[in-house]
Amino acid sequence: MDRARPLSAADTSFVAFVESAWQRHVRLAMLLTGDRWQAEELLQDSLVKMYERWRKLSRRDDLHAYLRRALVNNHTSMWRRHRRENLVADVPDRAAPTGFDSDIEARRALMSLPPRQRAVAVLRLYEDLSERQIAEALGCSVGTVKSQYARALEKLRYLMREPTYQGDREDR
Amino acid sequence: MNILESQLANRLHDMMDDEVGSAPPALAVLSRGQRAGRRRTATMVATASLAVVAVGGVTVAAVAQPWAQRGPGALAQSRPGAAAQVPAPRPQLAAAVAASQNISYRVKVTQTYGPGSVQTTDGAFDPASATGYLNSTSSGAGVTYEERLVNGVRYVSSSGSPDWKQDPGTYDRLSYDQNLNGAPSASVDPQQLFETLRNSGATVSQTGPRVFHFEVTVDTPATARTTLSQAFVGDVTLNADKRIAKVAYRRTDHGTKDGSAFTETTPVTVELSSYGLPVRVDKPTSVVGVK
Repeated sequence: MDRARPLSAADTSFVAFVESAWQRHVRLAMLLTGDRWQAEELLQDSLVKMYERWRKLSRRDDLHAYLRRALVNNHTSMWRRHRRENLVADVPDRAAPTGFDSDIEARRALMSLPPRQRAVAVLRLYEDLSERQIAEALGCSVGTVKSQYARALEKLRYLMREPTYQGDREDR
Repeated sequence: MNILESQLANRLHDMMDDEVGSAPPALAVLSRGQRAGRRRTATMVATASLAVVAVGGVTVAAVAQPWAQRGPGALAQSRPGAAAQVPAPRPQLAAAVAASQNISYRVKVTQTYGPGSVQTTDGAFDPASATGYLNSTSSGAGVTYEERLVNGVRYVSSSGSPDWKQDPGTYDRLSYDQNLNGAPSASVDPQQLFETLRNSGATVSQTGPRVFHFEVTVDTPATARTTLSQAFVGDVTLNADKRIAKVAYRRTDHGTKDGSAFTETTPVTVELSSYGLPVRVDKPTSVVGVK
């Protein structure tokens, strides 16, 4: 294999960014897609799109935020095109006794959400973004984020049955 | 966060913490980006490329046959009236196309994107069993792509990835589009190429006993942001069995994108051999299926 041809400065910086971003964002992609193979494809597609604008983007200091937004938007577009995520039908039709008993159950519950609600939930719960940051990432209003998040929580609460008290009842 | 949110957040982090990390395929992504950039400058190339080396409905050029003056049949062909007995290039090439279709083959494709940037692909395919493979190496970024098609089931892999991925469904051909980046690949997929030889238009002349020269320019429909005109110039060489052995052409793209003019030339060589020989491909051992 011929590696004699050196990479350009722009390509070198892009490779460095991919290496720094991969582990962090592949997990976000997995939460969005529910599948490692699709997650890696989604992340690669998003990175390739970034490469096409790299000479302009490389001057930004919020590259990870840009990639996060690209991931979410690409996933939404992909979902609209294919609508073939196949875990929805497997969501249990009644609540689990206390929380999610397994990662599989939690993953299925997450995948039962529409992609936009799922994105809001993942960005809030996993990426720990504020509502304003999520609105910027998704290109929507804070009000939309709030309503989407409320609906997502409502469904997740139904699926996992949130505990209704915060202390030990016997201590009262 | 309330209790529900905390539980959910903890669960998500636990799930992801348990995930095994994968090596960042940085060079593979870079190579895809580079190829996507080249593809972007050649919108609609797939369609346009189908006109390459086209024969059907051709404007057959005045046949210049300098080889006839030197070849074994020089005397006969130089006699008055003998030229009228020489078959026209179009039916000869059409017959070669027919003889090259629906039969197993080996293929080697070489595309040169610039100094030191060459993409080479080796493969074989048997249409009867829908079995074959493609191994593609891009010298610029040092990236390899591989595909195996076993009885219609497609497995793909690239450098940096330890596992093969199985595409859902079944297929009756190799995915030249993925392995060779779509644009020029539509014209290097022999099956598509052969159909093109039958159905499309070009100016064709015979320049040797088994060599046909072609030239064609294709203007693709302009979009709001892009105009594109592509000129294809090349040669088709037949083997001793009068099947297609080699198609070598140079594609020059002229156009504008967002007001900026561009010109890009890509030499492509497609070599075909081992017609009719069996093709055996083993299923990969480590396969990740798509849900």
